Amino acid sequence: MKNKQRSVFYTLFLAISFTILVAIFIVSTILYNQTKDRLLKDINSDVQTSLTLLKNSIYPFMDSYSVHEYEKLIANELNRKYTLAIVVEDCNMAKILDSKYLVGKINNDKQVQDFDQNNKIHQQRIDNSYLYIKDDIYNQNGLKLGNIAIYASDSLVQEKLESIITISIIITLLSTIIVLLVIYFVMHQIVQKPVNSIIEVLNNKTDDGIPTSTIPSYNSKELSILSSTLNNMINSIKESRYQLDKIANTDTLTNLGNRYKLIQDINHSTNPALAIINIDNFSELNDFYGYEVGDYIIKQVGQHISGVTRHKNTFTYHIQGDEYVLFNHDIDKNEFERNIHKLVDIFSNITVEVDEEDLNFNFTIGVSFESKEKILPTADMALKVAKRNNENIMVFSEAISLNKEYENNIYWTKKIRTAIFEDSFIPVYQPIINNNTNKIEKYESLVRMRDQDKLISPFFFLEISKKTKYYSTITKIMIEKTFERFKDSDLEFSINLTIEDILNTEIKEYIYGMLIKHNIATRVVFEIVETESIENFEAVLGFINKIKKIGSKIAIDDFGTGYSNFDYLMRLNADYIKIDGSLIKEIDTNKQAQAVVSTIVDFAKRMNIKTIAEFVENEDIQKKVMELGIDYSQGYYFSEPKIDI
Amino acid sequence: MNLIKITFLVLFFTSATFLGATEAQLDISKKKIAYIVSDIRIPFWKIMSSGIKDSAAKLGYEVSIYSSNNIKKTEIQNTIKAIKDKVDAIVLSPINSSSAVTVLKFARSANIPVVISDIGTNEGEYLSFISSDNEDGAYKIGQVLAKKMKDLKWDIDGSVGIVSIPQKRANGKARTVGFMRAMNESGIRVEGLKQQVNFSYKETYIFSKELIKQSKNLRAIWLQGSDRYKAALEAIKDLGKENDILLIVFDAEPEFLELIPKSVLIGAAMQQPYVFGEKAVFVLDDFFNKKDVKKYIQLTILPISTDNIEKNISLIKRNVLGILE
Repeated sequence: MKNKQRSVFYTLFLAISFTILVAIFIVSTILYNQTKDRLLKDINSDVQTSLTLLKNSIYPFMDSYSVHEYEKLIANELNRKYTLAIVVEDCNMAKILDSKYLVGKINNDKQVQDFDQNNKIHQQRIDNSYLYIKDDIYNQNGLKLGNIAIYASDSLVQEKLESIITISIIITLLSTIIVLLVIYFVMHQIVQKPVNSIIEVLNNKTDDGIPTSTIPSYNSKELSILSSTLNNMINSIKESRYQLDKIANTDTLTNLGNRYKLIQDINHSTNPALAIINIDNFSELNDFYGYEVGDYIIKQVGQHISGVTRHKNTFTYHIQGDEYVLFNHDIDKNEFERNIHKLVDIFSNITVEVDEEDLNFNFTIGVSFESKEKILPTADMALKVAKRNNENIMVFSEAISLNKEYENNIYWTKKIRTAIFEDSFIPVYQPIINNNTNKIEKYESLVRMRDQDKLISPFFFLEISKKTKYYSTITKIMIEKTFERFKDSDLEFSINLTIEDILNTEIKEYIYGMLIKHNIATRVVFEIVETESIENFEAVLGFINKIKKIGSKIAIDDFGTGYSNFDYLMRLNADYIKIDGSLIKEIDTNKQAQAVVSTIVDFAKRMNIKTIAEFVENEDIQKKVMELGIDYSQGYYFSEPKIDI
Repeated sequence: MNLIKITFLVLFFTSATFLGATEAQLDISKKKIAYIVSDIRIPFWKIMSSGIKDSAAKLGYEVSIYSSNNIKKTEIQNTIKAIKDKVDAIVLSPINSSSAVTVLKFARSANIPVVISDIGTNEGEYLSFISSDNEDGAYKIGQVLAKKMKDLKWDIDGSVGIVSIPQKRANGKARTVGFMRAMNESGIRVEGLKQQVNFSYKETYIFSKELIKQSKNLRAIWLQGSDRYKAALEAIKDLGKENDILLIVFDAEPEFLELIPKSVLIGAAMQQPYVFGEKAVFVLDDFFNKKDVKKYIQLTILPISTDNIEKNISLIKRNVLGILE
């Protein structure tokens, strides 16, 4: 599309040019008419004067027959500017010649020629003359000697008027040029140059579109105000941008750099080194102390990590939940790794005071020196592997690369598909002991994959099944087989569900249908594994309320280590809390665990929620469980999960 | 019969040839020349007209004299009359150079060739203009005076005064320039120049007296015209300077043939009016015969002094005074 915008100077020049042209046209027209009138008066006056002079001067010569003498006078008079021709009729000479005698001079093409009355050109010229006057000539005695005729031309008038027009045009052009040049110079200096400099400053901007420099001040008042206003705007934008950047790049909880900031810094790095630091078992603390304390711990730990990280180019970030990152954009691998090992010892001394109690933390660290495109996921992978292998630090290498994970995933995906096809997923049942009666009161149904003569733990296939969408099929198999097992029994039994199962309409309808079909709802406890968040809480609650109406119960599984808290318990209207095994495993030795479990039990009792301890593996644990008042126990101390009960 | 016929034819052709030649001769003799002269009563023009008539007669042309008597109207009337008389050529000695223009115009309109003899014209077309070499004549007569003053040893302290014709006239200027050149070459001072206005006797007398009175060492007066020489002589005589002041003149009068030998006059630069007339007719003859004609012809002036007058007496009588013996 053609740009129709015009420069303000172009428009201004057009307007000024037009004004000058009109003004000079008017002045020239007036001047033209005045000059024309004056010149015509001049002609009349000049011719009249000429006539009077000649009459008075030539009669003596006519009287004395000095023809040539008065011819000279006529020729001389013809030099007057407007005179075209002068013709004298000499009566004396006529008498001698016996015929009319005319003597005269005529201007013919700027040449003075003798007038010849038989010459057509001469005759034509005097016929076309502008003015003609004639008078008789007398001698001193009053005797008529003849007459004189003077013809005037307006060619000079025309020339002068044409000259005025020419001069007017020249003056117009010169004036226009001069005025335009002056205006251009002034406008260029006062307006265009500053405006261009403003445009230049505004165009010289960062990728964000913010000018890099400020607009200079100008002598002109208006431009100075404009400059000042624009600079204020630029500064406001810069400040806003700075605040936005800060918000975008800063974790509001810890004031450390956030994930976005980390990604930005990674992108600008050349030789990056990155370590993800994860607080072990933070979910337990969160569950126990609640989110406010959890946030406080995250903040305090972040300050400690940031404080002990002294290397000048190593920065600390808080990227999510209980994970921090140390990142250096350009450092030697060995130096970074050495520093991380040193930090592990330092981190073990980090203490956060909560409720007048000092809390210590264990950390798992995944390190990567991969390229900036891969460094964050590979460090995360290293962290996961470290967690899995129960190691403090893991540096990413090809040995733990995704390829092996993929190979592993492919292997297990095939295995799951085969197991479904061969009906190899089976439930195993572990008894749950009522600590008041010390009797088996119910069973938890747990999934296993039968592989020839071995039973494979869900640790190896459950996560992969979720990724491959076989999980819902496995859930259906477990419900079908477990319900089949207990349909004719009086025993209570529990079965694990995830939030994903509940949000899956097909599964949800299937469970409800199975409960009705087998009339077994009152003996079923659904153990819901805690998750980070419930996106559609209303849908989950709708399912829970629906099954609870027909007599089923709800247990919150692995409580204390994940994201569940007491508020969560209240909202889900849980009947049981299954305290996470990691707390129970060391409850006999770890006072912290005892404190957490004690708090959970205390709360559950007040809320009339029954508590269940998992992973009760020995007598000492069982004693402690009973001491803490936990209602039920489950674990290898009593029985391993079995196919047949 | 045949002999008679042959004789008749021979006689016929002989007669025809003779008659044809006679006719041709008659045609030449029929050509008429008009001499329009300002005033035939003045000797100079009279002598010139003699030259015209004599030479025309010799060449077989008819001459008519038209004297204007110094009246312009008459000069124009003469011109018109000559044209009406169907003259073949005009020799013009006009009243003045301005009136000549009008005559030339009429002649041109009638397609008549004009030879101007002396005076000249301000403008106009003519066949030829014959004039005297005034500058050369004045120079030569100046040399005559210088020689005389040297002989008398008056050249060292003596000076010369001039009574001139109007200096606006070309011949006046030429005469002064030529004379001054001769004086300068001889180292003789010229003190005073008086221009004639009305050419009267009294005027010349007064001017001469004033020149003599103005310069105590005045040893000569040069009169640029001849007709008032007597006034100058009287002034010299009246101031008692007859033996102290020389008189030398331009042009000639018949009595000069006596006065110069007696040293009453030291000398005179004599124009040759008779030759003017002759020359004018010769020019026209050349023109009629389709020969080349000079546009400007200058005649020499005779520097006559006491020393050479005897030797040139016959030349003076014929060419200057028009006296044919």
